[in-house]
Amino acid sequence: MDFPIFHLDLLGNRGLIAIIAILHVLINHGLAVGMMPLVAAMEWYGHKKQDARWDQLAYKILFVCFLITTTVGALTGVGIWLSVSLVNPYSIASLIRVFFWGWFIEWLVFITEVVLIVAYTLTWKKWSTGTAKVRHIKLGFALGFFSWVTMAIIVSILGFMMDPGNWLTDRSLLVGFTNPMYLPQLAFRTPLALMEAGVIAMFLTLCFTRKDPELRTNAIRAAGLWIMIFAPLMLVGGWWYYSKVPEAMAANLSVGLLTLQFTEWHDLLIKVIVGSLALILIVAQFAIYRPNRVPRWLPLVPLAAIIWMTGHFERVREFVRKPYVIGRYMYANGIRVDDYPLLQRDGLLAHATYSTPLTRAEIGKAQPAQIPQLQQGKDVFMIACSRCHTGNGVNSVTGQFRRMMGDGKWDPAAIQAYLANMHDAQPFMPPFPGNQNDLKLLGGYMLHLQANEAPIAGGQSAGVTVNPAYTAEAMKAARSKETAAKEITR
Amino acid sequence: MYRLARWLGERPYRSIALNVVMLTALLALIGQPQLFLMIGSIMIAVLALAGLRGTLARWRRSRDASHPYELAYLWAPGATAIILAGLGLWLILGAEAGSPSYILGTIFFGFEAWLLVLLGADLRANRAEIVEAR
Repeated sequence: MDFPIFHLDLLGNRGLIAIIAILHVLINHGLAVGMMPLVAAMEWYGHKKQDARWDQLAYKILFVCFLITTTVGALTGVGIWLSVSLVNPYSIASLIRVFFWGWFIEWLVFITEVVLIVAYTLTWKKWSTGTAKVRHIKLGFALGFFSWVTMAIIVSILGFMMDPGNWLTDRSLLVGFTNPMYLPQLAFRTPLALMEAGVIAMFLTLCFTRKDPELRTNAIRAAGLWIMIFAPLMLVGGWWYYSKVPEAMAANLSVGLLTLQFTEWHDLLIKVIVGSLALILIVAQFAIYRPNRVPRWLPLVPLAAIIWMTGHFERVREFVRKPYVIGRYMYANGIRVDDYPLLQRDGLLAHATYSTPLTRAEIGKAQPAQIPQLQQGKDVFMIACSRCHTGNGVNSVTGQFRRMMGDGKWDPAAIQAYLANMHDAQPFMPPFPGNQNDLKLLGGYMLHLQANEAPIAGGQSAGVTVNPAYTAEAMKAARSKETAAKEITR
Repeated sequence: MYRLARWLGERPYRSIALNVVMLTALLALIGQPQLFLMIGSIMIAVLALAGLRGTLARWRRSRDASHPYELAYLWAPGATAIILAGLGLWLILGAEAGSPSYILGTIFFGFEAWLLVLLGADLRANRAEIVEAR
């Protein structure tokens, strides 16, 4: 609780991260990890057949990827860091401590990847014959390899967040890196990326080969075959991941029971994977059998299926993690499991460095005497709930209570009772981190939110005030008190 | 009717494809998954054998088919079609007649059987090119 709290009350903090992250994953998987080996393979094939048309097509596809990955891809990559650091700085700080060297290596690999893609694109026309061309093709495959390595490192961190495995007892980088979810997830994502690249390449081929039906036929067939080869591997990887998810889920939930909602999602996951895969394979088959009849819109169908599948996959990944952001180590609200006893004894506000002031709109028609309590209620909400919930926007707390208690005036005692026991009723919710007084303040604030739909302002717009216990003067006084106590002891 | 007959006559495989689609539709209408499985399996086996014969002949004739890309191009489409037809039969077997899974399985099966007819026809007509014009 050492950072001011960022909050988006309409979209929700999760929504912000989800939009940026899913866009980044789609670009990273489809246009970098999967596409670079495909482009290099097309270049190699053109060189082997001494057919310049393949070379030109590969260059055009690469150029599109180069533009998107170095602009939107790079921005969303940085955007993930920015948004996650804003929303949950504690989880990022913990992950950096565990994966410091892993991330450092990833950074080096990423820099290499950027240098390689620039070199690969800019030397395409210069290194076009003889040994220079062979060198250029090798450069392309090296780029594909480094793109994959960046993903392979980051996937370990994502797997660690789902289930850290033995890291909780043996806190070493190696144990964290080789967490139980790592390989199944990597085995799923790698063919998914290659398949997505095949679908995008098919679409771009249809755009770039309008004047050359023969090249179009052969290139569409090749893209169809590429998809067909990696689809079964994706199914195997998906099955492996699917079979590991319940173990991670059972380990994460203290009650050890799978919730109904999770069971539904888990069942849906396999249907989504099999259904999407069948759809993708049907398009790939059609492309192989009748390449000259593939309309330009057709690859968009499997692309939509892949986007849907990726989105669903990420959603299940998020759900499995709950109620933690780092399995069994830190709850989704950014509070460490080990810090709970202290906070539940002293209350959240006693350890909160900052307070996020109420705006005039948030105060609304509240009486001046009520404002201090509302302010404290808001601070409890910001610390305990705002990482996942909004006041009245997406995934709002008011929406949840409206579903449970209807539109009439809510009963504060019932709200408090629910908040105190929500983890037992819904194991994917973290236990309430504060004490009885915090519960009371939060219950009162919920009633205020029911009547006042003004958006809750985060620290970025309302500013912050420092908790009187944490001002420079207070800290100085506390320190001198501590020194005096030590002197007396001596 | 005359137009249909002329259209069917233009490509010999069209009559086979039409028969395959009609048989699939008939099996779906009967609504007995066990019967569908039995006759459907025979249908796929016959089409697969015809495709296998053509593929083997093509493989023997083609020198380039030793390269992984050409090998994949030669074998993967037919194998995938057989597997997906099997998936269609599996969906049909585990579902009640008329249910969404049954309909989906029927569509899968019919589509894959149709593709196997195309594959066999392409191989017979020597149109299933392994590599682009050499």
